[in-house]
Parts: sequence; C-alpha cells; structure tokens
Amino acid sequence: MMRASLRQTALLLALALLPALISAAVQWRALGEAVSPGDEITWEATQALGGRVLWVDARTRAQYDQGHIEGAVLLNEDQWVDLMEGFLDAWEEELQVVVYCDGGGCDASRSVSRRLREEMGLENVRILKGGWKKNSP
Amino acid sequence: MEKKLPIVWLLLRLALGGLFIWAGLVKVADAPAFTREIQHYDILPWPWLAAAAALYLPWVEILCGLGLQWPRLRLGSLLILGGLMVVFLGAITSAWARGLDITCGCFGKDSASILTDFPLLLTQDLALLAAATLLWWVEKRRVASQAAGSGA
Repeated sequence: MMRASLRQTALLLALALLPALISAAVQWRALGEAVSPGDEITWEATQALGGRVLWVDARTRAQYDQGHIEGAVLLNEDQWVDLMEGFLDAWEEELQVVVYCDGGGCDASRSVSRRLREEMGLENVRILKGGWKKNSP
Repeated sequence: MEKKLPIVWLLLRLALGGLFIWAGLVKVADAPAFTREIQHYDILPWPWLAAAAALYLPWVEILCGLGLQWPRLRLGSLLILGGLMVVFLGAITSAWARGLDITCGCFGKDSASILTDFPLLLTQDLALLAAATLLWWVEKRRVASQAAGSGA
C-alpha cells in the first residue's frame, strides 16, 4: 500500500509541473517585478539623499511609540484618515517619501505606499528595504 | 465505523478537496502576490526559489484537491496535503518565533491586517492536518479491507 501511495504522490507532483510552467510563461514579467521590486530603496541610498526624506512609519501606534526612525510620521491603514493630517503637515513635494514597516516581510509598507500613490497621487514613494528591524539602531 | 459514516467521509473529502482547489486557484491567479507572501517568511535563500514555489505549490494543491475525490489517487493526495500542512505549520511557527509580521499567503493575497494572528493561523493548519490524517486512516482501512476481500 505504501508503494502505491508513493507512486500516486510522484504522479501528482509530476503532473503539477506542466501547468506551473505554463503559469510561469504567462506571468513572467510580473514575477520578475515581485522577485526584484523596483520601488524599494536601501538605507544607504536614503542617506545619500542628504535629509530630503520624509519617513513614513506604517506600523501600529504601539510599535511606533516603542521606537521609530527619527522624524518619521505615523501613517497606517487602520488609522488612515486620522493620521493623514500629520502626514500632510510633514509632506513637501521635493521630499522623497520612504515607507517602512516591521521587517522585510511585512505588507503594511507596501499597502501604505500603494495608497499614497493611488489615492494621493504621489509619485516619489519608495519602500525601505529590510524595514525597521534591519535598519533600527 | 467507516461503513456507518460514509457520508461523513464523503463530505469531509469534498470540503477538504474543495478548500485546497479554491486556495490553489486564488494563488494561481496572482502568482506574483504569492511570491511576495513566501518571501515574507524569510526562509528561502534566493528570491527566484520563492517564485518557483509560488508557481508550483498552488497546482499541487489543486491536483491534490481533485485527486482526493478519485480513489486511485486518494492516498497520494492525502500524503502530499499532510506533508504540505506540516511544512506550512513549520513556516508559520518559525515566523512567529522570529517575530515576523507576515500575511500567511494561505489563500492568496490576505486582507491588509497590520499584525498577524499566529494562533489562528496555526489552529487553521492543525485542523486541516487533522482532517487529512483522519481521511488517510479511513482510506487506508478501506483499501486494506478491499484487498482482504479480493484475496479471500
């Protein structure tokens, strides 16, 4: 019975390869963007901007209160409307907006940066590579 | 017991299979989003490996969901689904232990909750693993009794 189970397993795993290859061909370009996103910026690159950066902390207020990048304004999806005023007070057109969240793996910075682009019409919005955990002191 | 409750096993198979087919289809529709979800776990060493997993795993889920409904592929499907759940449990536990803020990617792109509910994710996965294990046990007994019947 075990041999039959393993044979079935091998067959199913092999069968899944073909549609996966077709998916790869269809979504090739978008996958490349997902693997190597062009909207990320490293900490080192932000330092080269000479202070012309508006940091946006996309985490919760509790996390922000525990520590954040100096000068960062809090703007997250849960309190989007309430926190927008603080963001607009700090925003200037020539500033590079850099959004960060907890680490390289959180989605909050991506969501906030997307909303800033789509809802506020901002163009110069980037995401901090590695997030707060990688770049905090 | 399986003779008395065939409808229960049938419903459980349909529910588990349907869930994995749906979960797979959602991910197939947006493989780049699933690639990012996998990268969030910070487990795989190279980004292209996350992309390969994002392309391959959903189809494995879909085929196993379908295979679960067909007796000749049922044991293999359950073996794979059980294995997948163990891998997912390990990945979620590891992310929790490292304090990562992730969206699990379990059913494609998740809602934009800021903090991950790790206990809920683990409970979901454990329930699915328990269902797969139960069905595996039922199917094994069915196959064994069939073999005994044909041998008699």
